[in-house]
Amino acid sequence: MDIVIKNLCKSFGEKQVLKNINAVIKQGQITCLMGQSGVGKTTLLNIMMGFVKADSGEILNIPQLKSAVFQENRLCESFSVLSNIKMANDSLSDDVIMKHLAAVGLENEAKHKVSTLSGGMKRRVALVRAILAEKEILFLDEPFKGLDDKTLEQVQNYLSENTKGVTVVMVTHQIEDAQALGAEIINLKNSAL
Amino acid sequence: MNRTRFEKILAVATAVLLWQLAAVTIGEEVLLVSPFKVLLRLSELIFEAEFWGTILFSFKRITLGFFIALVSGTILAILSYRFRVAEVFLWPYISIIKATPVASFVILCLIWLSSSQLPVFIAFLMAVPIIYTNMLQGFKSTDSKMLEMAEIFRFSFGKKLLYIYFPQIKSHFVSACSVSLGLSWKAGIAAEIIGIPDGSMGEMLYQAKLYLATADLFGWTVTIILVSVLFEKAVMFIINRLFGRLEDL
Repeated sequence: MDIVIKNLCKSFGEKQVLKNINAVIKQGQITCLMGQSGVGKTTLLNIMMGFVKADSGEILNIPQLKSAVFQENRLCESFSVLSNIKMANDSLSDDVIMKHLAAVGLENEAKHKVSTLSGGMKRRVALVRAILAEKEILFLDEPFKGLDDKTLEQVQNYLSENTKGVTVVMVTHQIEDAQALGAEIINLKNSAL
Repeated sequence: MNRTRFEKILAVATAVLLWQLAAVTIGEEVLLVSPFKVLLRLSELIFEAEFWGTILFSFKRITLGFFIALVSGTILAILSYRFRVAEVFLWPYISIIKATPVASFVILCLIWLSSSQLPVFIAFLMAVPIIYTNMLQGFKSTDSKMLEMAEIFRFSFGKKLLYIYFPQIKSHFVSACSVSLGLSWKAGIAAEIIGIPDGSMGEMLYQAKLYLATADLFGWTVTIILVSVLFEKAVMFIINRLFGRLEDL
């Protein structure tokens, strides 16, 4: 079922971040939340993930099985790449994880501690972890942050191939990201107005 | 040999030399015995069967007290972290234990316990607030964003403990153990000196004071320092290995 956002409002103190947001997020498709900085994209994502309560309004049909790439990677730095991916899904075999790591150019980093990786590598680990977790919905908060052009294309292809039939809600500043993934766009600034 | 180690050895050698000079200047063994005499007395003591039995007596009790404090301090910290009411109601006990002089507890506990149980209880009492406070601080400093991540990926309690809490509390746990180990030994021996349980290191120190055997007093003091430091190093080694193993999982 499609996710329906109805009259959603959220303020932090005096500042109203979200004002009467209405939107439909189609099941099994990629939807991008776009808009300028501070318009409330991450707040909306956090409300959908259940971390922030809306002041008023409602969101209907949010699936239970969630997965996410957070704005900060939120990886366990002192553990290996493999452990970080397995912690989101115990049933994964090393072979499957290795295939996914190879798809994003991290096949040689599997046993390395996350703390030893570069920012771009950590981002890819966070993405593979989110993809391999059991999920009905995937939240992506600026998933391509810190990736160079060559890696960006590789990761976008990986994401397209591995999110078929999955409901994806992505926050991004770049219209090109949305276009590359063939995503529906919700412009939060327009909604707020 | 690295520079820091060389500097440490140099500092110790200088301190021993100054001690020797002070002992020679005073020229009165009862007041200040020379390091050479202490070493000589220590070399005699280590060949006495009673020496090792005495060390074992105190070691067993102080170590037991420390480990009981480690387990109970950790459990109490978890309870306080999960239930604020536990933190509120534990606060007066922890504050009183922290503020009360060891001697007051020792004298009070002598009424309740036998003198041989005393070092266990006093070592426990001195270590438990440090372990509790440090562990609670560690749990409270857990990154809420990491807990959100754990919620999204539906971590079990065991997984949360392994991946989120253990790395967060590691430094607090290590520092709690390091501080409380030394304090357990100091307080445990102080309790033995007051309670004078038969066959304890505290009893040996008490007798040395009684008979003005300064060489024995220094010899036993050096022994206590060595046992305490070696035990601390062993515990720290085991803790670091355990955390290392967990991270390799």
